[in-house]
Amino acid sequence: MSGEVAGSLGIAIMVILMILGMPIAFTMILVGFVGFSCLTSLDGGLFLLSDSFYYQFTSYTMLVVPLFVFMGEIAFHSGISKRIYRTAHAWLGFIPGGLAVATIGACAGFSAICGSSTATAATMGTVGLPEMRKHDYDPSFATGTVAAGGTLGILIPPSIVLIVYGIQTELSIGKLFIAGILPGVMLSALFISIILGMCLINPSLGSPAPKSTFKEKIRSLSGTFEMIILFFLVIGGLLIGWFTPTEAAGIGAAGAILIGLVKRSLSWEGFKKALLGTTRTSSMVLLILASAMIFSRFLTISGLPQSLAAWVGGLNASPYIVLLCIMGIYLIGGCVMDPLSFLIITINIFFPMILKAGFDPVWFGVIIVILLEAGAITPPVGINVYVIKGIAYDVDLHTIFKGIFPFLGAIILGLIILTIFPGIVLFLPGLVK
Amino acid sequence: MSIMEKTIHLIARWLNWMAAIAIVAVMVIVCVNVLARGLFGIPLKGTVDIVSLLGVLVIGGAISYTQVLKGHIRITLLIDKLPDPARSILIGLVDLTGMILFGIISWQTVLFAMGTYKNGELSEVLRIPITPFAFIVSAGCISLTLVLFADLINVIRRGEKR
Repeated sequence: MSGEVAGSLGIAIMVILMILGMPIAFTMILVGFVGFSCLTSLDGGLFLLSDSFYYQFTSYTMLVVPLFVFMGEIAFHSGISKRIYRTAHAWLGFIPGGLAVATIGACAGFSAICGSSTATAATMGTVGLPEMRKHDYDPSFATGTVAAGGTLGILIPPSIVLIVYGIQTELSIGKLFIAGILPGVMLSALFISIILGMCLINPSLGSPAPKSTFKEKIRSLSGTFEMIILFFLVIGGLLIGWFTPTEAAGIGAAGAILIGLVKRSLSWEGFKKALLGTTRTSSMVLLILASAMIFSRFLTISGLPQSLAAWVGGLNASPYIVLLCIMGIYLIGGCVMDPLSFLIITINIFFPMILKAGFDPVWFGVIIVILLEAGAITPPVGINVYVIKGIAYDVDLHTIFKGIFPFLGAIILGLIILTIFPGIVLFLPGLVK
Repeated sequence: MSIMEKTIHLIARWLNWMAAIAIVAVMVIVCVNVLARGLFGIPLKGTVDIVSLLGVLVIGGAISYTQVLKGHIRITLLIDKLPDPARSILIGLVDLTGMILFGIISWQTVLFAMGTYKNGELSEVLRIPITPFAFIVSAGCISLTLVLFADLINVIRRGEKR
């Protein structure tokens, strides 16, 4: 059996096992191990297992994941989200659909300290949804807003998906982070425009909240000011080269704890919950990463990714056609499975193609994140939607998905804009050495 | 819940707390190093060494408890739709495969750890023996194998009750 055939067969078996319900990490280890053993020897396969497990678990770079997750968990459990929301509410609440606009603003703000889309959706869902329901916002509109706003969590740095992309493609995590900022702001602006447009056409979707006084506006800032400083310290320090990504994450987590303690908003219970949430999320992500290493060793010796890239290169097709196909695959993939896992499984296959087609790898990283975001709010596996369903249990899934539709349009529009003007992504990273 | 299952879950939970403590330790060490370097110009020697070794505790410690919480991402579209006997059989088979897989990994990581002891392998900068850390990887994998075993027993027992 040729390497390429073995590689393709391996991928097919992996997909079948995943559909049968085997945890994604387990399927990658199993297929990687069996495939590697077939192509080399059983001893080679067994050695690959122990070697990968030990060296992936002792990787300094990988620790960036638990530390950034920890930072987000601490922010969540110390009520920082509530304060950010209060600020956004005070400044934006009075316009039509203002609470929805405030929710998007608060999501963008919370994304700056949290790297996960589900955590952002969950956090803002618990704070923003009750407010919108209290002011008689349309349930579909309100839940759709929160689910969509949550996706900003993985675009605006820090971002767990960009970290994983950086680790796997050996790109600078700092550059990827900064590349996500402008697209994140742009997408937030698109979301807000959609909300305003919808509320202009149909004012009953969301009535404005009472206007707050100037004094209230200024006072509301006291809750968010510290977070802005923390964001600039962490992301700025990373870019200037003060610290490595792992150190930036450590400083961020410690800073979030410090703010929680000074503001007396972080309890011992909250701290323990944050730690447990961190071990759960990180071990899930890191085990998938370790298993992806085993799987990609098998793929590499099978020669499949290289052959595919060469084949695509030989097609003489426009690079944009290649890009469109890959985008389609990510969009569909993000709909049927956990976005991060999908990225980890596929990146080794598509990354060489993208390089060969002449696209910038940093730009592609941001595009992938946005595609996966779209997947995170699309049926059947739109993970954010399930998170929101968990909070707004009286709203049925169908209603939430209906509310998401306009935002999906905004995301696709955003993708088109970024493909026509890649400078929006590459401008800020270009300023960094 | 049987005594065996309780014990297995207890071990997983203890390992998970070890992981939690390791995360805090990593955070503290990293911050102290940044401060020492930034304020006094003296980076702590071997930070990368210690932090990397603590990484073993973080992941090795947490993987089994994450399985207890069913936190390892899987696609449940098909499983959710199946009627019951088929569903239980499928879940049982998946658990069995996972258990065998992690049984093999546990065995290999134990061999690996014994190898590091025989060769007297040390960390790069501080020359710390890596054997205990290699055994923590095995402990995590063994604990995960046991959790999968308990899951399997559970599925079988539920099947028998019907």
